[in-house]
Parts: sequence; structure tokens; C-alpha cells
Amino acid sequence: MDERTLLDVLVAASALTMASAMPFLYSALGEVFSQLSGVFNLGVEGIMLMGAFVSIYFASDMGLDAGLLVGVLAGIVTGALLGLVMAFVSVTMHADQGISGIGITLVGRGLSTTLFILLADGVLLVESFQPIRIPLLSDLPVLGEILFNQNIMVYGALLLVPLTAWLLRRTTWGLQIRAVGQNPAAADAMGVDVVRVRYSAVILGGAMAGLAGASMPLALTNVFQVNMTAGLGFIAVAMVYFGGWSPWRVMVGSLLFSAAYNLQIWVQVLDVKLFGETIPVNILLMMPYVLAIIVLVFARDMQRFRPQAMNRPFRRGD
Amino acid sequence: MNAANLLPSGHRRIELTEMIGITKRFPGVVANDRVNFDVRAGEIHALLGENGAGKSTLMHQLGGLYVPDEGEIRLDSQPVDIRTPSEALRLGIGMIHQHFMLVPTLSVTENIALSRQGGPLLDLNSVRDELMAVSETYNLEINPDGFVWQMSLGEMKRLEIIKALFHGGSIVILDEPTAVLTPREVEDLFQTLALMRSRGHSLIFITHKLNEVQIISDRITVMRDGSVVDTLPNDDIDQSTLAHMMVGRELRLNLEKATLDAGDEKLRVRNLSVQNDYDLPALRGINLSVRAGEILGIAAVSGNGQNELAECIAGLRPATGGEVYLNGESILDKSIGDRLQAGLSYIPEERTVHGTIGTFTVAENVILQKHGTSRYRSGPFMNFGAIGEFTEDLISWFNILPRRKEALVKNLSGGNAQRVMVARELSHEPVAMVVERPTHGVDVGATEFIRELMLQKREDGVAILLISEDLDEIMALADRIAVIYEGSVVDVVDRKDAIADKLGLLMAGGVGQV
Amino acid sequence: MTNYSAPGLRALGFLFMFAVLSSAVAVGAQDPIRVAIVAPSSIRDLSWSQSIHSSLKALQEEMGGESVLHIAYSEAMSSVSAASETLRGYAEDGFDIIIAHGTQYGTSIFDMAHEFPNTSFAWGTATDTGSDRGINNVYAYQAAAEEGGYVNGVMAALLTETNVIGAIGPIPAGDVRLYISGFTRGVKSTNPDAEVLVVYVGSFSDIAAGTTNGRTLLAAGADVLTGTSQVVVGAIEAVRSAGGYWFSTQSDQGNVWPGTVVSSQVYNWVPMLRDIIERFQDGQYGGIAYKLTLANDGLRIAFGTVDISPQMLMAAGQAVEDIIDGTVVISS
Repeated sequence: MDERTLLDVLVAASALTMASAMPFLYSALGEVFSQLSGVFNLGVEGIMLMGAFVSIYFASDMGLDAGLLVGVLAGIVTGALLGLVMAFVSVTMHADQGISGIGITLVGRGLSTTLFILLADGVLLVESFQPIRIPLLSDLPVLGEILFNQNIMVYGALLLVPLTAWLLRRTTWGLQIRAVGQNPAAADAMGVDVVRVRYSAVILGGAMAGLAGASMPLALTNVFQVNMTAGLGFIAVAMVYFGGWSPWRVMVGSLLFSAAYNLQIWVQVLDVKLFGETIPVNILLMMPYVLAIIVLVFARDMQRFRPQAMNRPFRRGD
Repeated sequence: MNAANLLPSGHRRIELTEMIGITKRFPGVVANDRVNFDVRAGEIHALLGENGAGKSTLMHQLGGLYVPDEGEIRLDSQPVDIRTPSEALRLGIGMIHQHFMLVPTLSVTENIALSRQGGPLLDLNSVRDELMAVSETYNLEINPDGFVWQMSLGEMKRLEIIKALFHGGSIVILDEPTAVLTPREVEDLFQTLALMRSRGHSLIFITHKLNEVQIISDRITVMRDGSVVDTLPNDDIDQSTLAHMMVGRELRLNLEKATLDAGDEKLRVRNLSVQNDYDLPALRGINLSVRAGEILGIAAVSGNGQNELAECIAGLRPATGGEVYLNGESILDKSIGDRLQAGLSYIPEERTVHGTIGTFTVAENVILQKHGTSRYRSGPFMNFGAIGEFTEDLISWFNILPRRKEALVKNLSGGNAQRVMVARELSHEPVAMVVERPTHGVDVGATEFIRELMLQKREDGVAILLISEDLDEIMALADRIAVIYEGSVVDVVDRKDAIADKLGLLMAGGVGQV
Repeated sequence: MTNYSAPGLRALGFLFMFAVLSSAVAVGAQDPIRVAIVAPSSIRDLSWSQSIHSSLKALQEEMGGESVLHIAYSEAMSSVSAASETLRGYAEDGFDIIIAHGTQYGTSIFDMAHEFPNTSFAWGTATDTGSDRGINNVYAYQAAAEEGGYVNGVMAALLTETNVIGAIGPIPAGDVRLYISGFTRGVKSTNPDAEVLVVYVGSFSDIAAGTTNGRTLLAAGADVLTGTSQVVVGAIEAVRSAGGYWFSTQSDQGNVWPGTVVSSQVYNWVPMLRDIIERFQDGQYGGIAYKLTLANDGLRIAFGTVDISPQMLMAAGQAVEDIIDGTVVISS
């Protein structure tokens, strides 16, 4: 591949962008449910780590060898259970949500590390989901390679965006989630069971964070490593703010962030010069974050959509 | 079941609602002590009392927010057990709270749909049709697709009523519904209530405003300290009798205002422009002048720039153009502290945000602006002896309850917290005062006290800028009245030439001469 | 159905081990030497942290086990302030030798060295022992990563068919830079037409980003890749899936990826650790800056099970010899 045309580069970068954005999409969309219901779950990072470990431990032949689908399921269940813990602590016990979330992250980090070394002796590999070419569509020029030659979990993440939007907008449950995060007292007065709605949203958010964790070893890296989420969970939480609590904007944010990362890799690969000088790598690596900050500044009126009751426990009559 | 027993919505009308021997205790307080209360179909029953008299607590038990410790609630002689707001809703009891129970980010239709126990999929079209039917039956105009955050307070109140009616609303409880409304909106509300009465609803109207009670209600129940003082038909009761029942002592409702000749100009606002929190123009080059011994009332519906005006004069918000003079000296470049020193005093609207510090004691709050002056410190330390004496003086002078300088302000009632702040602001003998909605949310007793104090300061030669949405208050206190609409002064009139109705029209953006 | 019971049993084991998870540290009999390691990543990271831990374990076995050499470790200490607390904790507990296995821990070591004069500290990658400032209980160490890098590079140049070779590092600094520059020199010395594409992930732990970087290099035409630190495990998997070849460094990764990893430069800390322990027993606590090289057996080239041509094997052997005898000087 001596000649790398710009189009080739953009196609390759875009195709990889879809895969890199996948964990963000799962976890950030899950966090949309949680935050809209009024629970700010900073535990996403730890839930993802546990989801990642449990899923590969179930799926890998170095673990329980139960297959990829069981692995995905195990990741989802693990996430849902941790979501349940988060819901209990923050909704039932009225604990401070930020602190509870950090607690869950620390537990997830420690437990996944300990179990990894105890149960798997520090090495877990898996043959992950392979790309599925969608007939006809994958033959489309440019778009075919970017969108229609991915593995099933990437497709799943992308399909989850309209599904999330539909759930929130078109179902009674979605309406209730949006209401209890804005004005739980009003929802309560209208006969909405605030506690139940918040539990369901936080558990779903946890399950999706677990799924996000599972997607990393099972659909991207093929391997588990201590602390492999490396702060992605926190970026996913930021992505929810950035996207103004809208699934579509969260998708745009996830894709933008991942695209910026992938493009800077290519700038390194092609040794792109600026004013005749190689651009320092440290500057390039900052680009996705700089981009995120710039967008956040311009998107500040998104705060209008902020769930007003986020971080506030609900007690009737307060 | 014949048609006479049905409301226009098709729901059964409840002829008689009774609350019998209701007792509700909270830690350390008996909020309701063996209260009896009833309301009939086609009646507006006013529940009158000062803050903390137990009116809202009583109605929260009918609305399912609290469960009574003792006593019984009966609907048409059938005892009912109401444990949650949704049970109340199902029984046809709609509660319209003082604070809006609406979700701002949802549309009107979505807000209504929230309460409908439908299937898993939302059917917004049928909800929209039903709510439009209610809106037509009761002449309540509403845009079903508008978002609540874009609506005016009057529209939001209308939506709350539609919400109650959507579920039948056989019994509708309105908790201080007029507190946030303009005079015009109050008029509309009263028309709606009259219509609902004629259609057979039972209405309960919680308030502490005597004039409203007289205008709208059929019967009046007065509560004080958790008990019912009396229930009377609304005919030929004069306001002072009601006030006496409510407060338990004589009140002077009609303030005597001394005739004064205004002195020199003390506070002057010239071409002042200010922006709001969203960087949009809130004031568009306004001019005002207040003289010594004069109260200039600013009449405006909330959100028309009056709050920004007060904050700008006080130094909490920068001006984007123009000048403010105190005693002929420009103060816009001065710090808040320097403005205080120069004799400016500010009593803000949001007491807990700007006015007092809840977790500080009364003594600490009253000394906030003076802790640096030599009288109240010894070296770098606070002189607690002097501070204590000063605070005790203020407590007895301003009748602040409890009479303990160590009490935390957050544990004080709204009226007493207001007194702490007023006490602090008045104790340093200002040249000019900016006072924002001083009696908003304050009970009758405290209102009387605060108004008398302002008149006292006026006689002492202080220039007072009074900002209020309560036209009665402005009419009672002001010497001149400036109406502000959308950041501009629409008109300035002398009190003696002012007519309340026309002022209300101007405040609402209507054109015409006062 | 027996094949179904195995996962079931393992799942039970999962629960059981979790239930009894209470760490009891075995203590030796008569005064073993007590050595503690504080490592920035997991000791199963297949790279930097694993190399020091497995070297110490090997030495423990050689010396006679737990009763002679007691080992304690704290892993994944990515926070420098937390690591500082841990280091101090080991010193206060009376550990004899404390190894701070990261450049970032240097300040903490020098802050506490004078308070514990009878404790021997070692840190790396570093060259400063503080002896110029009168400190005599700190060792510094580094690996001449460029040497094995060069040998790997020579082989990679002979293996590539596309003439495009990829190299991945976490951040452009220290040991990483040394390795990659040595590797590039090795490639160029053998096949000047081959292109070496270098990318940095920007993280030591984000292995998903490592995968992405690996896949990007593959998309750019690379068929042979190398990389350093624990962040590359995802990239190795990407290379394995694509049927390419990988050259490793720090730890031997050939047993984990037998068909993919051609050779690994292995950091053999055993001679250095043995020397530090012997000196400790003789009453010397610091003052030496160690450097692992091919010449002093601190660096070894371990081959995997990939079939390689005799020509490649000879070229690698020649490169090792040239470096040891100084024919090839890889200045960094």
C-alpha cells in the first residue's frame, strides 16, 4: 500500500471510528436514561470494567468457555446488578450520587483486578465477534466499508440510538423517566411511582454500561487487561452533558470524539507536517479533548435540558 | 345516575366532602389539631390563615401527600383512605400547589399524559383531543404542543387547572393560586373558578389575602395555630374582623401615611441599561429619580427588568450603559461595600439567596456588613459582647421570634427571616433603600410590621425604591409609581392620580393613559 | 454432559474464592530478606511490571524460596501520591529493599531516603542515585531497550513483505523512545526501503485505543508490528487476527501469542536484583546506576514458536554479537 489516497485514509479512519465509538455509545446512552431520571451515575467506569471482565471470563476458553453470547449476557447482568446497587444507595438510601458513583467505580476497579488475577491468572483472550458484511449495502462505495462491514455489537450500538430515542419519546415509561428527573414532586402528584421509575432507569443504565464493558473485549480488543476502560466511563458521562441528554446528540458526540482520535492517529502515521514541522504527538493526543471542550463551550445552552432534579433524592412532601 | 350528578367531563360530582377531627403531628409540632372542614359541590370555600397556620398541611391530607394521624375523610358520607397523590387523583381530588407541579421540559400534552395510566405506548393524540375538550368546556385557552418552559406563569396556572379537570376534578384545591399572577391573570382565574363552581365542582381556595377571600368565596374557614377559628358564610364580614381572627390581635390594615414634602434628590438612575442572565437586554436605558422622604413604587410583572434594576443598583450586576447616582455621586464603579458605606441599603427578593445566610445565627446575620467596624471588633477579633447587645436590641425592637440571638436563621419562619434582614438593613440608617417584594410570602402580621417600618423610614427622610408586583402594596405605600414593561418605563404617575386597574393594564403591556 | 460440568464447577470456584478472599501473607522463618515492589501497572501486564515481578520470583526460587526471600508488591499504582504513601508504608514496615518501578516515583524515593538510612531503595527507569547529594541508599536502574529493539528491527526488516512496519508506544518518553528508536535503526540497517510508521496511544492502560492504533497501522499496510508497554495487548490481538507478525519487548509474550510473536526482548532483572541483595547483606544500600544490556545478560532475546528462516536467525545472532562487541553502537 504505497499510495494512501485521502479517500482511503478517511474510509479507514471512519470505519475504525464506528468501532471506537461503540463502548461510548452503549455506556453514554445508558447514562442518558439514568441522568434523565435524576440519577447522576458516576459508577459507569467501574461497571464497564466489571462488565468487561465478567463477559470475557464467561466467553473465553481460558475462562468458562460459555460462548460470546453468554459472555455478553453475563456482562449485561453484571451491569444491571451494579446498577441495582447504585439505585439502592442513591434512590432508597438518598446517598450523595457523586460519591456513590465514585464508590462503585472503585469497587469495580478493585474487584475486576482481583478476580482477573485470581480466576484467570492475569491472561484472558477470546476470539471476538467477527465483522458481518451486510449483503448489497456493504458493496456501496465508501459507506459500505464504513457502516456495513462491522461486527454485530457495533451494529447493535448504532441501532440503540433510534431505539433509545423512541423509548424516551414514544413510551409511557420514557415520559415518566423524563418527568421524574425534572420534577419528581409533580410526577408523584400525577401518580407516577418515582422510586420505581428511577430504579428501572438506573438498572437499565447499569446494564448498558455492563454491555459497553462487554463490547470492549468481545468486539474490539479480544483481551482483558487491568483497568482497561482507562477513564472511558467518565468520558461517556461527559458525553451525556455534551449531548444535552439527547440520544442523537450523544451519538454525534461519541462519533466526533472517536473520529478526532482516529484522525490524529493518521496524522501520526502519515507524519503530516505543519509549517514544515512534525506536529508534536502530545498536542495531537490532546485534540479529542480540546474538541470536546470547545463543543461544550458552544453547547452551553444545552443546560436548559439538564434534569433539574439530578443529584436530588426524592422524598414525598419535602 | 342522572345527568345532574355528573360533571361536564362525565365524572361523578361529589356533593359533600368532609374532613372530620383531623390531627396531624410533625416532630415537635401539632400542625393540625382536631380540624373539621367540609366543602360542597358548587361552592368555593376559602381557607384563610397566616403562614404556618396549618392550611396547606390540612389540604395535603386531602390530596394524599400526608396521611392523617387521627380523623376521617368522607366523600358523600363514604369514608376514604387516601394514601398517595395518585389515589387522590383517582377519587377526583385535584391539588394545585403553590409551586408549579409541571415538568418544564415536557410539552403541555406530555404533562397531561404523565398522569394517565395507559399502556406502554404513549398515545399523545388522544390525550391532546381530551385536553382540548376540557380546554373548550372551561374556556381555558392553551396550546397543547407548547413547552412549559416557554409559558407565562398565568398559562402555567391554567395548565394546572386543566390537569385537575382532566381527571374529573370533582374537588379542586388551589394553594395560594394568585401569588405569582398579575392582576389581569387573577381576574381570569376568578372567572374560571366561578365557571367551575357553576358546573358543580367543589373548590377549596387557600390564601392569606383578605380581599381575594371576599371577592371569590362562598364560605370562609379561618385557621390559626393548627386549629379552626371559625367557619362563616361570606356576607358582611369586614376585613378587620377576618384579620383579627387570623392573627389573634388587632391589625391596622389601613396604614396612615403622613403627608410629607419630598426633599432633595437622593437616588437617580440615568439611561441605565442592564442585561439579564442570558445576556439579553433586561433594562433599555431607563430614567428614575427618588427624593428624600419619598417612596417610588416600581410596578411590574416579574421578568420585566425590575429585578435586574435592583441588582444593578445594589452592585450585584454590572450595567451595560448609563449611570446611577447616590447623593449626586456616581456609584456604578463602587464596590458593594463602598455602596453600603455611602448609605445604600438593599433588601432583596430572594432572601435565602442574597439576603441571609441560613446556617448563620441571627447575631451573625445582623452583623454581616458591620463586622469590620471598630465598634464590633477588638483588634482582628469579633467583639461578641457588643455584637450580642446590638443583636438583642434588634430582636426586641423588630420583634423577631424566637428571641434568641443564637437561633439559626434557616430555622426561622419566612416572616421572621425577613425581619432579620430588614432589621439588618435598617439598622445602619441608610440614605436610600432599594426594597424588592418585601412582603412576598410573608404573613399578615409581618407584612403590617414591615410596611409600617418603611413608612417610618420615609418620615426619617430616606429615599425608597419599592419594587413589588402587589399593586395593593404599591398603592398603600408609594408616593409616585413607575410602571416598567419589558425593560422600559412605560409611565410614571402620582399616587393620587393612579387607578389600580389601569396600572394593571400597563403592567401587562396594554397601552393607554393612566 | 461432562463438558458442561466444568464451567459450572469453575463458576462455583468463582464464588468460593470470592467468599474466602482474605489476604493472609505468609511470613518466613528466620529473618528472610524482605523486598517490596511498587509497580505502576498490573504485575500480569505482560510487560514492564511483570518483568520485574517475575525476575524477583525467579530469584526467590533460586535462593531457596519464601523463607530466604520474602516478596511483597503493590501493583497498578497509577497515582503517584498513592504510590508515595505505599512506599513509605513499606519503609515503615521495615522492608529491606524497596523497588519503585517507575520514573514517576523518583521524587517520593528521594523525599524519604534519608529518613530510612538502613533501607535500600531502587528506582527506574533512572540514572540518578543521589550520591552527588550525599544520599547513599538509592540505586537507579534502566534497560538499554534500544539494543533488543535493534535486534527485533533487523528481523522485522527481513520478515516484512509490504515494506511497511508499524511501531506502537504509550507515550513518547524514556524507555519507549529508546526501544522504538533502536527498532527503527535495526530496520533501516537491514532494509533501507522499509518504512517504519510510529504511533503513540496516549495512554498506558487504554488497550481499546491500542487496538485502534494497531488496526490503523494494519490499514496503512503494515504486516509486521512491534510495540512496548501493557497498552499494546489489544494491538497484538489485532495483528494476530489479521495474520501479521509482532515483536515484543520487556516481557516474553511468545507463550501468550505463539503464532504471532516472533521474538521478545526480555528484561532480565535477576542479575541486578541478586547484586542489590548481596550488597545489602554486605552493608551497602545504594550508589550504583545499573543498566540492563545484552552484554551483561540483563537483556535477552526470546524466540516464540513462529517458524523463522535460518537467514533471519543468523542476522539476529549477528546483531546481538555486534552490539555486545561494540561493532554496532546505537546511540540514543
